[in-house]
Amino acid sequence: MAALALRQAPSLSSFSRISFLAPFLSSVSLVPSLFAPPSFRWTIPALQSLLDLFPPFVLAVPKKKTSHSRKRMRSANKGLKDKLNLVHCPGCGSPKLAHSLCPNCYSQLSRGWKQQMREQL
Amino acid sequence: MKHGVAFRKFSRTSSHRMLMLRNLVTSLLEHEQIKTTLPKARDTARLAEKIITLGKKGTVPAYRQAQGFVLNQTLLPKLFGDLSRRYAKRLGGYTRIHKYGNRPGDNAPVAILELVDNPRDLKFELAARSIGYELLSKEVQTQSHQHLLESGLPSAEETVEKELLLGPDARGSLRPYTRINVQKVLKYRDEEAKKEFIRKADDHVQTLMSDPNSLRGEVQVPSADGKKEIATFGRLDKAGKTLPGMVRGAMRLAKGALAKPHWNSQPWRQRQKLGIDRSLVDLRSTLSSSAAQADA
Repeated sequence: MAALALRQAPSLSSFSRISFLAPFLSSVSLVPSLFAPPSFRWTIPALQSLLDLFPPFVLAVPKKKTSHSRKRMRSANKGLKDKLNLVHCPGCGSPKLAHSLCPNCYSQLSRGWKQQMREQL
Repeated sequence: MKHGVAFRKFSRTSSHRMLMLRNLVTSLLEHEQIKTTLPKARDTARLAEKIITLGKKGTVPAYRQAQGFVLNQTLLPKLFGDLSRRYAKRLGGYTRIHKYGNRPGDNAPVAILELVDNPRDLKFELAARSIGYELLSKEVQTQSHQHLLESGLPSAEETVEKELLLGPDARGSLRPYTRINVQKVLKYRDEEAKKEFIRKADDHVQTLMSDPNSLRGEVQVPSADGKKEIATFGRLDKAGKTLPGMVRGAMRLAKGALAKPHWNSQPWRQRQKLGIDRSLVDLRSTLSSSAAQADA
């Protein structure tokens, strides 16, 4: 954490603890002692020093628009994966998923059953 | 962690979940084949088999228990009668789950849950079809298509009778897995079921032969005015399609034109014509001719 740069006399050591409350305490203008150097002064901390207190990732911002190329390179691993579990149906020879029913065969059977039901009615 | 927890929750309260499963079991006992999501099918199968066990017991306390679970009282005579007789010799495993892809609305994996040996038994039907396809594949490799279409195929009866007695390692007319499936499907069934099985296999052979797209090669088909025409059958119109007698890898077929060509797919004659490479014969002839010129 960035420390506030405070120039102060040794007699004010009790207020020299660099803490979160330091800016507020130091904004109070203290009466300098008679033996304080003339160049000594307390200043209200500027906006920059306030911002220095916040960690850098809080104020992160993209520097430039991601180019089309870089954006697309990032999606390199987002593509569709090939299905490798394809086999032939032993009943009709058409391709099907492994360990699953053949949709071709099942639809033929299903249509046959529905036809039977309709004929019964 | 879910270590050792037996049941699924299905995002429902306890009472809702139990009622849903009871409904599924009741529907299964009524229709003997239902389509639902795969996890629901797995839990329902477990409960349904326990209810069928109660039916097999046949005692009064078992009847009362089943009565409390099944939601349709008219199914109890069926449970304690037909189903009990059907599974009298079978030691458990009264249900079967077939995976059937994904549902369009929510991409849920779907399964078909059925009672084994029911009138619409899917494994029974598909095993019959496999036998038909395999027998036709064998015939297609040895006979010409013209001869096949004219004479037809012998019945599957001989094959089925023979294969039922063979072990899984023995060498017969069928592939090992087809043989295992045939044996499983006919294990606790009677003679009539076997006849039905053979009839379905023969029907499937007839269906395949009647479809002009299922036999490969050129077949002479007489036209209406008597002049003979040659019709080319067996167009591979879909990616990954195979015809009886063809043996090719499913993945390569599914990729179609995008698949890597076989290393030897272009015969050397074609490569010469295109000027891709020069065969050894060419090189030798040029060398010999140049040597002859040098000599002369």
